[in-house]
Amino acid sequence: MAAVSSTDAVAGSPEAQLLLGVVSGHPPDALDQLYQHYAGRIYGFGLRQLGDRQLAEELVQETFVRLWRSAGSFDPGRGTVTAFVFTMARRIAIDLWRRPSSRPFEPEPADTAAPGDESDAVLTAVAVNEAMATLSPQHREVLELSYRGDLKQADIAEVLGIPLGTVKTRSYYALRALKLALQERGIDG
Amino acid sequence: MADHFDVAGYVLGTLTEAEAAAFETHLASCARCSSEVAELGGLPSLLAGAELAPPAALRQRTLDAIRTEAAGGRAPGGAWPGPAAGEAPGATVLGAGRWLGAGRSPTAGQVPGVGEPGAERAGRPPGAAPPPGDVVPADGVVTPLRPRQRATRWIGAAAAALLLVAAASVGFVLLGGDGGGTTTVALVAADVGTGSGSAVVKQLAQGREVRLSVSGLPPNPPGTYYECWFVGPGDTEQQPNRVSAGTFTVGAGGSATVQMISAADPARFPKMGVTLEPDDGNPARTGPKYLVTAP
Repeated sequence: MAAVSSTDAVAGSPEAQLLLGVVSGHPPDALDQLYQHYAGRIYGFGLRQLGDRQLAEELVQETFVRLWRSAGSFDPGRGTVTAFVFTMARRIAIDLWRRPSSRPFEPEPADTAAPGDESDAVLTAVAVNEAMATLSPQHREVLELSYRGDLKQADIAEVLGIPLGTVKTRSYYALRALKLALQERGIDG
Repeated sequence: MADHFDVAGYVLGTLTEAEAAAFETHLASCARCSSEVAELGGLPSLLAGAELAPPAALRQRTLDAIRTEAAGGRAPGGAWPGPAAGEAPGATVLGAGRWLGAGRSPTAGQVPGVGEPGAERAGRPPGAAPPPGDVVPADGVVTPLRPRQRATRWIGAAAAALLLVAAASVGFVLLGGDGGGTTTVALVAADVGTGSGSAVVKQLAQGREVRLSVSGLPPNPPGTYYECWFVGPGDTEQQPNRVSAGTFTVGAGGSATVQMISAADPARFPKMGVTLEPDDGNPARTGPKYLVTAP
């Protein structure tokens, strides 16, 4: 049985099928499905990179608009849909960051629950996001792209425009930095 | 031979299968890496657990923004981020199989938007030509315009067949339109920036009526305006061969929809473009090109 090339694997992936669906119009909700798949990730990425909820929302919106516009140009031979999406999101985040009207970075605590809710999960989530906010932008960014495991290091290297070896070392130091920041907040995950 | 640094990729799940297998072999004989796996192994799930969901309303806003763009660029008040100042030129246009500008510098070039051809209603069979200029999407259903096809390397017969049909339909719209006498011209950024546009051109007795929608353009600085042109072959700054369709301004939102008319003969001036011109009373084109007809 012939081996499946990585291009085949990418082109056959559910995300790629959805992207193709955006181009062909079938299914008509392909874009909506892509939104369900990626919006949360991009929002989190935007929130942690830009430190501002409104900018994070803008990032999500603009990323999907551009994804829609450029869906026909996706080349599965060059990488996964996820890497394609994140390359776009990152560029837009850089633009948003540089826009004169953007507010300076202010780490926002997670408000996943109403005040008074002190469940461990919420407190941990708050601490994790605060810890992430103390990391350098480079460390935060590489962790943001890595932690779900759906981008491989080679994809991350492509998205960030850095060598693979740098992704490896930076990932390591980023994890160590996060570990330390969490320990300072009493989280020993 | 596994790198000690690979403990990070291993724990995060970003190693390839081969790398992960090699690292596991390495783990069997490396106490340091084993203890690091224990120390760092919980971090990815902590990060996953701390994810914040975007507000529910964002989904509809986003889909609406795309639908609006599909319908001709009348944004419902949403702000478009303009190109960043000092951004390196995105000389590589999307397409021809080219990856989204793998920039090596921090100011990696912006990717110009792709032009939007005429809309297709949901449920219309792929072989049918979309009605150019008629861009009302069905209510409640996301009916995205087909973004312009470029040479892609999709494989798989079904995918290829779909693409061929899609490309044929798009090509039809861009080349000549139907008996209704309208053509849609996709515009892409010339050299710099994120601009894109779409011009629906209708031949009237008085001339060619243009309904131009642009987005992603920087607001025109004071003392300048944008100008839309019909351009003929061999046009140069020294020996121009173009006719103005009209002038307009772009505000902070970066987008505009304008209606103009030009007597330019379509046979002699088939292409279109948008430049930024000084407001100096000189009708000649002296400013830089911002949008050109998508190749």
